[in-house]
Amino acid sequence: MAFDALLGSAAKLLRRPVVSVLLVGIAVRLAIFPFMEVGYDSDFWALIIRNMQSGEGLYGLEGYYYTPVWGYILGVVSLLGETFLNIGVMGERLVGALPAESYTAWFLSGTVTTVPFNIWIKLSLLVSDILVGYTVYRLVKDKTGDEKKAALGFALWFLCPAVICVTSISGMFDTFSVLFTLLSLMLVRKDRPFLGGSMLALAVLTKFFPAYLFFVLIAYIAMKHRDDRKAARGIACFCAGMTAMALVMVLPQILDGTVLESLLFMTNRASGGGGTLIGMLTGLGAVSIYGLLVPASAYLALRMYRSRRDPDSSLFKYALLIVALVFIYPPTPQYLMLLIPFLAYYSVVADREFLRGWAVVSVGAAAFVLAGNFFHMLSFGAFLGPDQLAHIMELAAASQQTLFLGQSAMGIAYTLAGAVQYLGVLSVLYIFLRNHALSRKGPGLDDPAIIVSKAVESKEPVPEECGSCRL
Amino acid sequence: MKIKQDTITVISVALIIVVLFGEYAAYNGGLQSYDVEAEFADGGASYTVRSSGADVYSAVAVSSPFRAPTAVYVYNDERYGEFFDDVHAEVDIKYVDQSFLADQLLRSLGVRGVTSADEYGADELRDKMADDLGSEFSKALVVTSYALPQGIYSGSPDDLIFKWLSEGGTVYWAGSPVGMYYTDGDGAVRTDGQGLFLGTDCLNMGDANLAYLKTDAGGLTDALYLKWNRVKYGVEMSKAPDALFLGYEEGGYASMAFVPFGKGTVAVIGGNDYNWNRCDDVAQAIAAGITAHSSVAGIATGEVTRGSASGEIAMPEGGGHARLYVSIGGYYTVHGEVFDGL
Repeated sequence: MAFDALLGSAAKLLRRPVVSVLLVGIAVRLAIFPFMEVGYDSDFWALIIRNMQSGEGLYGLEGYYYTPVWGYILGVVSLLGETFLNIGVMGERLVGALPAESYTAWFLSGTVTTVPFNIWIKLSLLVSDILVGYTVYRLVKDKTGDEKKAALGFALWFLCPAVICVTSISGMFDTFSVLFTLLSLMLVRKDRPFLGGSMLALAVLTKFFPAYLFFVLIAYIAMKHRDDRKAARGIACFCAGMTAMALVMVLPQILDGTVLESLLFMTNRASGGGGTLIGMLTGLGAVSIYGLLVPASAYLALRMYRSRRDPDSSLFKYALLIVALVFIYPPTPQYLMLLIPFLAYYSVVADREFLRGWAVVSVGAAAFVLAGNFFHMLSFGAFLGPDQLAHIMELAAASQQTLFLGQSAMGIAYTLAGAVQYLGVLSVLYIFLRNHALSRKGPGLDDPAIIVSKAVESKEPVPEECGSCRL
Repeated sequence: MKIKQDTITVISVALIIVVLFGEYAAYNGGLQSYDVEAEFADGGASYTVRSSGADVYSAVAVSSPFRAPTAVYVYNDERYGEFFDDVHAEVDIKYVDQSFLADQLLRSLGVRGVTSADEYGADELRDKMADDLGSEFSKALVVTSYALPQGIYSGSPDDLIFKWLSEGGTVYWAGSPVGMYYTDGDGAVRTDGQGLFLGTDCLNMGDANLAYLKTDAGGLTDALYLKWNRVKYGVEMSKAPDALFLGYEEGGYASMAFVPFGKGTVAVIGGNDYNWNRCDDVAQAIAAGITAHSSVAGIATGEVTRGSASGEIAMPEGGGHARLYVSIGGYYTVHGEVFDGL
């Protein structure tokens, strides 16, 4: 009887859409994990673990160029691996893969990490992906009370091709930055500003892009407590949480004098590079855009505060706008992970038109990751044996043949995919601009009346909070 | 509603705990411990390797008529930046901060159990090398600049560097053609003195840089997990018949060549560029005590998983001075220890 009851519960659970999405997403990721990786990055993850285990911390020996939080996560991942698993070899220098280094434009490495190592690192990213999906699910469910919509929001993150590719192939850790960011927003909404500030510090010290959400979160606290005079206390708690967590995170670097090394990712992306004209121009472009975004995000936060609309709706609207603006400077696919959950949430809760942006960004970013083609299969080739590795190298070498205007197939694939993902970012901004233009002519698109009319047009139920203003 | 709120808080607090724990681990050796014990006895070297995790290890025993380097001088050229552009205009080299390189090498040596190492400027280095002369010494000098200072090298066979080499020093030269420049007070002076160091002009002055073939070297390349595969300014193997070659090769040029010079060695590391692989390989070679006079006595490799592993390597009788180097971690070496026999 107990077994029947258990089966019944399991069947009931499986019938929930969110569970189906979860299982499919996990299965897809697990299926990809052993076959593909971006060797350039996975070699660094092994190197960072090596440096930590050799007693050199994160920045003593060369190899870690990011702010410290991902290194700390790797510290836990490697410790668990050393304690419970038997991954004695993180990677090998393979003669069969050395020719990849001759394609210098792509930063490829003949040091190939092993399949078990790749899987182990990516499993930590999978956990983060699930938690991000859960937060999106929770946010949509809280807002709409609709299980199906929440499951859709979850799916737009967890089954997003870009997210799957970045986690399962690139093995990049941006998902953790996204997770900390969303938790920060949720905690601030739940009136836990100290913890919210702490999570934003973690997000920024994983990848710095969420820093641009600082002013919006401050504005949100001010909006929410506009009438009860608790705004100053809330903002102070938020800033205190952020400062305290940031100090705790960089304390080892303060003590050993490697703070500048820990900021290399930020300074590199905000400085002229390469000594070439193009390098200088792109560097100046980055400095200009990332610099201008500080006052721009502050201005948008001020606008949000002055709008006197519902703080919760405004928070996600402005957060989405700011994150999209951050990527006006062309991003790599993993950076765009921050955009996806906001697009997912806003598409489901407020404006389905943003689904177009989601689709273009997803396809473009996924294609960008996949443009690395057979070079992503060197670990798998090494796992199979020298003959199979040689075959994979032959296929990869074919992608280096010049096809058009001196560009290789791989170069063209990267260019096209990069253009598509950038088009996705622009399309999100375009929808905002168009909505703004329309709202100047009439009621705003996040006006309850507009939401109701859109719902009526699409024959969908009207969100609860708009019930009182039904047309 | 209460439950939802708590779930998010619980997740957040749990993540903070995880990150803090990771921070503690990251700055405490990953909470791993490694240890090697070894001793030379009865014509062999026995060793025991311990690891708290899962690791590969290798034990490399070499013998040589001369003692392997026991101390390391790392030359930090304080005037590197001043004359770099002049040299760069004539020779294809890449700018790499010398203090950074010295720091990285010293750390890498420390990880491998080579603690008697320090960086020196031009004057200090000259004094140190001069003091060594006339004593029984075996020391290594690492040069990553494009030139040595005039007090050490000026393109003459009577220079301090050559006396030091012939009496047992080992110079590791990386990043530029060995002996091409020296610096005086006014700048870098070109001497094209590779022949003075290597006996003949045998450096790869062409464009070939990447190497795709592994040089077996009696299993040393694998056992030391060498990774650096650059051959620009490397030694042409056929022109240095008495040399020991390690690492990788391409077009007849070696990524790492150990050319004998009296009781000493000139070790030429190929490549005009830099990444951590070069630093790792130089540290591995120094720790293993590789010189042009080295013979491989024995190599043992294995895995150790949360415990210990032991082994023994037979040493040849009358093989001279012996060194055993045990490293843990394979291509990502996390720990090494050096043991010198008689």
